[in-house]
Amino acid sequence: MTTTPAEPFTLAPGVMPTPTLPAITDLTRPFWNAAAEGRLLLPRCKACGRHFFRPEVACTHCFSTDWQWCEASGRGTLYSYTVVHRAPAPGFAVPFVLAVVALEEGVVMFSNVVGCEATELRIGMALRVKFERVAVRLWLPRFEAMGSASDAG
Amino acid sequence: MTHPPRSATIVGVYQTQQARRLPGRSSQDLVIEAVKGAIADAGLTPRDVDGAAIDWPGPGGAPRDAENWAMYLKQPLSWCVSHHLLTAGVRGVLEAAAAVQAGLCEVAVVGSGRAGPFSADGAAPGANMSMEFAEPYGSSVMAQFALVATRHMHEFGTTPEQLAHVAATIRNHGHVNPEAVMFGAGPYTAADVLASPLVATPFHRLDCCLMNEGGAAIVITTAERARDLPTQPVPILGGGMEFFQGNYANPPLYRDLRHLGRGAAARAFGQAGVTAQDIDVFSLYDPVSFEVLRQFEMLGLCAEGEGGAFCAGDRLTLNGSCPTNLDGGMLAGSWTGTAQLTLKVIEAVRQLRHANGPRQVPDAQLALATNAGSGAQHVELVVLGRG
Repeated sequence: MTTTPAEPFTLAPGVMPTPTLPAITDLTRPFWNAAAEGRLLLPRCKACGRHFFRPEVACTHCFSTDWQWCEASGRGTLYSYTVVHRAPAPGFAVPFVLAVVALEEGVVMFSNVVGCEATELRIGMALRVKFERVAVRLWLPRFEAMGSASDAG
Repeated sequence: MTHPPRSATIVGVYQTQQARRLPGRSSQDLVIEAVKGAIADAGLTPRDVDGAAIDWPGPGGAPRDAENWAMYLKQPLSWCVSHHLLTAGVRGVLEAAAAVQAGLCEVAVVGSGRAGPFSADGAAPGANMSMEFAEPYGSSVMAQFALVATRHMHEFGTTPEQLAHVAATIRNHGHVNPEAVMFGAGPYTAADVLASPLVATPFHRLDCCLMNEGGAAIVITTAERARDLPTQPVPILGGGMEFFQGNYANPPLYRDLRHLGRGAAARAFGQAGVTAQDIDVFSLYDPVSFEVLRQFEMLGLCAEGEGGAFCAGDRLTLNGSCPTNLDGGMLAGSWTGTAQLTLKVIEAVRQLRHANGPRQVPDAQLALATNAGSGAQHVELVVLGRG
């Protein structure tokens, strides 16, 4: 990540701290810029039409280097999860939920499920993206249960 | 059993002391001790060795070019590789075996060691991939193995108690192995494992492997050369590898990884002319308890989803039908970053030499050693015999 000038920043109440920030590259910067605008972008191959994730130089389905960023629906399901009790690095607040989310577009991504108790987690449960500001100019796509309280807004 | 003259054969093994901390030791002097020890165990001298798959951990502990080993081994060397996953374990042994069989060198050493924390460019797992889409969410190696296990439990009803039984069994092997880091700790019951603090569900602390210091090395030469050496030759009968994708950067999905290693096993057993049912002793990679039962499913020794039931009772013990990780594995024996990959092979070799003390499997003729696992998205395995 390019160095950013120190700016005052305080996490919003209830937002999980993210001590390990992404090391953003030219390849991935559009993803994070869109996240800061509340949009989830995925690479989509122009040659075969399929989405893939993470962003790579070439499509992981057909090896074409001709792809573009496309906005995703932000909806998915919980493929698997683990409730992490031992912080992987100083600054993580445990316990938290590390999840694999299967997006509607057919790709999977790591994320966190937030806004529900661990006992409410069910593999296959419907999720929707929720962007959380975790640092200056950095918003992280996390997921919450479809139909949770913040959906009302 | 007769083998073609250039068949790769393990003739020397050595492991340094493995301990949580080895005060005063460096990665470099651990590697040197392991390499010297393995060469001596083979009845050879350093100048007999013309192939080096050995870490050269310079000041700070970062693996560097193996060419440096020419200063101490045969000068000039005929063959070397440097990557930290080629200087250890099954992958290292298979690469060295291929070099020997191809005639690129006559005697190869595979070796590594670690003391002190991982350096920034050292052998930390996954350090070669960008973790941009993993680490901000709090991903870790244990958590990624947990993501595979959780899905297995969801699909097949595998229970934390079944995982804990595997952990307790292997830890109890370490309880009685004086070379294990956890020698004397325990003995444990499944209830003890379940009572230990949670790391990442479903894994408790005692379901997870150690992190410690130590080194290990192996000497490989041709069957022909092995006949002139003093130790019981252990031929490499077959090997295989499988890589799904770069590890730890992309989510490990049970649907992709459920039988990861099965193709590698088929190749290894095919080369060896044996089946998984013929294996007398197992040295399975055990970063977590779950991975042991998944590997029995992968090997086809039980049906998918039945690994928990398969590993119940005393099956994995010295007196069971599948003696597994009798040295205490990585759960109680040692995990150092890469040398534990090598220790998996060394334990198999020691069993096949019929000189493994109280944990010797009587008349063991075939052993299987595995590395990595589903959460790591790659598996390497080797079938070893008695020459």
